[in-house]
Amino acid sequence: MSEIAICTRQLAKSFAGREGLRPCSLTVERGTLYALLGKNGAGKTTLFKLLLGFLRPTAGSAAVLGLDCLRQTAEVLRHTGCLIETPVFYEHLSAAENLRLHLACMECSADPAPLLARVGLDCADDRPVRAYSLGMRQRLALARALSHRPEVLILDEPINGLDPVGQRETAALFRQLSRAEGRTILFSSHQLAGAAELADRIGVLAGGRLVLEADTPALRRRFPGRLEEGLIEAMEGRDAE
Amino acid sequence: MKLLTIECRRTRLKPYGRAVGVCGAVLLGFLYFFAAIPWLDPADPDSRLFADCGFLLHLVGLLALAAFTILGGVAGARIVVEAYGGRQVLLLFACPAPRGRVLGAKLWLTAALPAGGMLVTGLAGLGIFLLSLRFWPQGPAPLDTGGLAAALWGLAAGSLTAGGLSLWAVWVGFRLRSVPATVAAAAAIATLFCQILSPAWQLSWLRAAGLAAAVAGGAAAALSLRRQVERMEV
Repeated sequence: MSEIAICTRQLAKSFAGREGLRPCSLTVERGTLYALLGKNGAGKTTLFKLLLGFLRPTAGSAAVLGLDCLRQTAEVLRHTGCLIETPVFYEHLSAAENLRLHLACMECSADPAPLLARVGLDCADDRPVRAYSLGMRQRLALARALSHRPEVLILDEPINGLDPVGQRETAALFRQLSRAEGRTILFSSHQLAGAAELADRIGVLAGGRLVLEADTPALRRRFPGRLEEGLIEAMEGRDAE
Repeated sequence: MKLLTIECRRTRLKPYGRAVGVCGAVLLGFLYFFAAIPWLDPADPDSRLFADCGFLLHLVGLLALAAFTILGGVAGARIVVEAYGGRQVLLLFACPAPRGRVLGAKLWLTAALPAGGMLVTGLAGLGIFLLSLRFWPQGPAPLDTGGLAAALWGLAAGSLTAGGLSLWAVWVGFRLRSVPATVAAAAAIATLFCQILSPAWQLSWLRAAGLAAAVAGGAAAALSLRRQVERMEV
């Protein structure tokens, strides 16, 4: 098995002449916690959608676990858990029913109760999801992403909407998934300090271009005592080296 | 089949079940109302037409075709147009099953709701009506075997036609990315088809031709939708 979990080569996407993602080559090794940072519209979600086969690239290629994201989308989806933008659910169903449906789609069988407990939700709560708060929805989306035991997780702003306790729990969960279970997590976040604390490696997108990419310890050495400022400078395109 | 089961689980089917029940009851009410016209106004020579059981069933069959096609349009608007036009599409595309098969399950459900609903309520209504004629001597003359066969064929053909026409409406709504347009298209297509099929009472081949056109058009619409969904980006 390849040690590379995610690999893009000169991957690019244009939307009606506007470049959503400029040629981007990115490699994420197995078991890595990779934080993709960038301002709104920097191209993070576009990159995630290209990896999941939701978008077709204008140029270049992408692979997850050695599977071509365009031609082997079904296999990629089977091995990947995802959370893209604001999570969407079947609003009239309960959390457990949403998970059961997802598992049926993935042709997996698992008990939703431990999955929900793992993200701090109660399986006995049979309220429809439309009654859930933003934080609860985010937790449920995480449970869904994890439910079919994927090797790779692609999570777009997974801690968005979570309270500080929830953020800490989620960070602990990510560490466990990565360190203890060897899963690869590619996530985006606007919370720079939290992301830097959590991630093994950080990439910064600015204007659709990958302007900075390095291991977190290397970035700490590069921006001693001012990592957040350094990342913001990169996001603004002031540090493209 | 598995995808169809999943589709049934994620679609709230109860409101459609209730709508089918209401449509069936209202159409049965219309059947009795039409059947009572010769008795209510015996002086009108045209009212004698309503004393013919075959004519009555054909007339109510046309109304049922219109009602169930519109119901199919409403169902298709939610099951297909809204699902692919809104953010729910992310859930559909995150499923590793081929996109065409996921859409296929949705289209089967969209067509099966009006077709099945019309068939079930039609059979129940027909049974109730024919049985009640035994207790209504001054009502329309009961059907003979040939008349009953024609009524059942008309019901089966009408049900399949409603299912096929619902897919036409979904195709229009999907192109325009609009739920109201889907329902409006269903109403327009249903009205047009009812006009075309109105002489089918005396021209039985017309019913078969209508059925063939509806099913062929529905299949073409499904193929076109499949191509669009496979190329879709979200």
